[in-house]
Amino acid sequence: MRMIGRTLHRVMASSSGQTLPSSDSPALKFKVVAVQGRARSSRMTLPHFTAHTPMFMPVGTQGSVKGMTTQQLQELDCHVILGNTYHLENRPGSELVDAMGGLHELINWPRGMLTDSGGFQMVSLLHLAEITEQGVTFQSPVDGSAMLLTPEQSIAIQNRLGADIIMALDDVVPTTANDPARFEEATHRTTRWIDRCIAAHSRPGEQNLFAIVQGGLDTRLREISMQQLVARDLPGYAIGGLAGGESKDDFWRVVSQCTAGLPPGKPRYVMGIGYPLDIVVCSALGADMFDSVYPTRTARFGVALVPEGVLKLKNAAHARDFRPLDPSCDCMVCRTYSRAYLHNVVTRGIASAAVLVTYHNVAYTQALTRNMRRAIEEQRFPDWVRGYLGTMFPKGDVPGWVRDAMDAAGISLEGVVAPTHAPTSTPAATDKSAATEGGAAVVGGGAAPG
Amino acid sequence: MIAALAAQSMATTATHFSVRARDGKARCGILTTKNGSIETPAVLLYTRRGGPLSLTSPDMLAAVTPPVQGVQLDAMQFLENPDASIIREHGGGAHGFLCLEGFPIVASNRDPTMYEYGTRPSTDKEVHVSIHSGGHMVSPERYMETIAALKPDLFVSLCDEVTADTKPKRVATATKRTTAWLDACLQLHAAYQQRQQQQQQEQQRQADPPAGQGANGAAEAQPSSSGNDGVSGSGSGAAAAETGPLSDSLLLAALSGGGQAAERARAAAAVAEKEGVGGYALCGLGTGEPPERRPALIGASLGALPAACLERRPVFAPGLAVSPEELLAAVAEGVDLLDCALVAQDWRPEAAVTGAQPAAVDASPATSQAQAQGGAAAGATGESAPDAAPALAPAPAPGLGPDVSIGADDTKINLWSTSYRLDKGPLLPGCGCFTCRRHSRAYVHHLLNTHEMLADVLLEAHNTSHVMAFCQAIREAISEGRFELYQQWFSSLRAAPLVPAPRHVTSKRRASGPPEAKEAAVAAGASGEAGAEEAAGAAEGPEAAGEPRRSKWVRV
Repeated sequence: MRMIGRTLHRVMASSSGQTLPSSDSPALKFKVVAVQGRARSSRMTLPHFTAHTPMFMPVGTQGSVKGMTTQQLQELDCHVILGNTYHLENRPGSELVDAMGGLHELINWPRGMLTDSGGFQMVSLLHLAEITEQGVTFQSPVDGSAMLLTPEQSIAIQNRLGADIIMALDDVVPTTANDPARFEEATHRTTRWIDRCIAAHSRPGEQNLFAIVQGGLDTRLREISMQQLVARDLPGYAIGGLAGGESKDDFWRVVSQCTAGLPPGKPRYVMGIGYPLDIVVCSALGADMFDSVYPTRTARFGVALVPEGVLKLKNAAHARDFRPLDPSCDCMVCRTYSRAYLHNVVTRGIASAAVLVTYHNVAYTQALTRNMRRAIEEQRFPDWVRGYLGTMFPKGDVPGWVRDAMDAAGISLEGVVAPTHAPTSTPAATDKSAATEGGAAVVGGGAAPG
Repeated sequence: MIAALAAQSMATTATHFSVRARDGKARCGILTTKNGSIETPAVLLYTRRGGPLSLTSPDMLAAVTPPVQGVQLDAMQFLENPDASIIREHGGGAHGFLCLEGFPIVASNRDPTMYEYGTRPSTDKEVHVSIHSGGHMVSPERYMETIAALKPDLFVSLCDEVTADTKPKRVATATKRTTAWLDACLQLHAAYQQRQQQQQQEQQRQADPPAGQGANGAAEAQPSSSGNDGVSGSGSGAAAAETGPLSDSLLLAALSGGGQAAERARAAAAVAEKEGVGGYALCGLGTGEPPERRPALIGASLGALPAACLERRPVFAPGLAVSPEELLAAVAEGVDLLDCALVAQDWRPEAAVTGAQPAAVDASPATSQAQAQGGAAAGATGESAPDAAPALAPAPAPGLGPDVSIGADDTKINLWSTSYRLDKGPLLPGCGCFTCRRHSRAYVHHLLNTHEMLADVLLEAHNTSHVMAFCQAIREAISEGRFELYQQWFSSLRAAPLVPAPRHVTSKRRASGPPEAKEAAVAAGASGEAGAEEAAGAAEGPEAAGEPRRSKWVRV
């Protein structure tokens, strides 16, 4: 707790200064254009495109975002999409991609591209992997052949793929592991590997190597990791090792510590975040970039993202519901289709229906981040957050971790959070004294507006 | 009175058809509906449960070029989830509910990619269909209730569907039922063209509707639930003919008769001049009959109809567009509308249809010869000049045509082939479709390899565009009086890669059997006359006597 207080102060001091944070790296310019509290709206100029943050990056694992054309992704105002190094090296192979002029050329995507290191597969395919100081040996799930992924190999592959942002190979341990020694080892190994990645990186003028902060849920290890990686002065930093099953209480605290501890003039990328609520919370804490398969994957299971939460389209309640998925969304799907139509055909083997819901979910997450950026730039971000949470939790049952995180972010949830005792809705102010949770309106740290 | 009403409704309906050009039995026409026009012959976009398989609409559908002119749906897929009551409650018909505004919709009784009949027996009163929600018994009343909810521009009457190999006795029963059901559909059609009150009476007459549907239907056909089908609510009788849900819908009479020419002729004659029939649907074809027998079957049906009837009535042939040759053969017999199994198969449409149809107007034999021998896997050759002798029609020289070993022929390429791994070119050079403008063969090959959904999307976009362009070429050939030439030229290109069966096969002899029959090595369709003849000649056995040919494995 003390750690958070101290870092908060540090952030406050820098953001109350005259100039807004920015940085200039060989292949990346990052410029914060507006700040409110810990949240910031920024421009990130990459070789292929200037992205606006906070931004959500849809994942095109194998070179396509499940069923969506690159034209549709552009129409929905996606700025950066992801490719997955592990899968693309498997098929079609990074050398082929290079021969075709890079991943941008192969898939015809003119905007920003980010490739991960292949490291996440360490976590998700662990039963097939063996991690040593040298690297990670995978047994390919496609044909059983052995793949060795060293930091050098990962960077070489990513150099051939040609993305604007490439990720360092990190030693990532699932947060649910109960092995402090392993976390300690992984933290230090990640640092050793970043040096190998930097040395192996053959295109620093065209591709931005981001380091990934590790350390599990241990604040000491996280601090060590941050200090060591920041010392390498990279164009951007990611907060890794999360989105792996840890509790939300642990999750937001790690994000908060890291956004407070990383340089404000450089982009901060929380990997694997895709629930809209998580995106909002992390943005309030000062994160800039997010990626996840969640919006696109959940669409294929018939789940549409809406301001109130989710719509489970297969539910019988939607059989006669002729409203659009989200009346406030102006995407092609919401202007055209009804829930009743999609209810019958989504997840029933008709791919176009899955793509329609995917289309909306991508539109939804892009609109979410766009609205956040606008709110920050117009200095009404806390109001926007309150409106967002009020829509999602009309009964005021905002989860405890969200309340704690917003408290740390300096955003009051007055009027949004229901008093914990009252069975009926009463004005929050009169019951503030009776509230036992820290969700009421006191703003910590002083200087932040709202 | 019903007949008179029906006749009047025919005259006032917004949907009508006229023939503009002929070439032999093939004809060009224009089908006008209140949701748009269709220049025929035309292939309709395939939909399953109301949506294209992979193309999102409206964006990807609108990007198809030449444009999709009309859409086919299977009315049977709207018996449940959703059912008629839900579509009625929505109020916009198929166009509104399925978001197909701007497209004429043909409601067929069949899905061209899966056969829904025959799982269980039908009765004189109801046909059995097997759809996504299981088996359903469908009476004319239930069928027409669904049609009325969908409000399509054209629809096929209820048919006792039987396959082409059905025995004569069963075929006769099917014809009898289909004719009776046509009468019922005509009556119901006329009723649904009247205002809502009569429609309500119809629904309340359905004494024992299946599982609560009738109750829903009656409950929802209240005069107070206005706007469901645009009822003006004033007057009754003939003058208010345009106020019912099916006022602007054309009924296509199902022409049955299975695989027997005589029976088909009889069935067609029986329905020929019934009042209220707005067109014809050739049912029961594309169910396993040899394609070379099909022209005779179509001819038997259409030949039994008076020429004057055919003049102003479109002919719809479901289930036939499974290959370009079959499409051409159907058009040659006078078919105007077809549904489409070409583009949307149940398996992955890995082949990009490239088809022999002109990418450019240049029709000089020299150019087309050069293109044909260019060695490219895609065969986008120019068409032959109208007055050129057939010999000028370019046939690829042996060894220089499409590479059969990688699954290509002159009308399609198989993008699974690794030969496309590094191919930066479009699927079909010169094609203006979405996929060819924006993406490469290498990318689509990669998407197929990684089993990505986008492969289906991009291939369906191209293949749909291509089929639309093929139809356009067909229409041009007909209106310029060279359709037969076009058909022959196309077939010659396709037959070129076929090889006769080798004389000495290297397969093992069976322990028990006589010497192996010689079979064609290539499992191609029966389109190549020369190839088929050779194969038949080389095969042993009393095949002509009707004994089924034993299938053999031939190792080459």
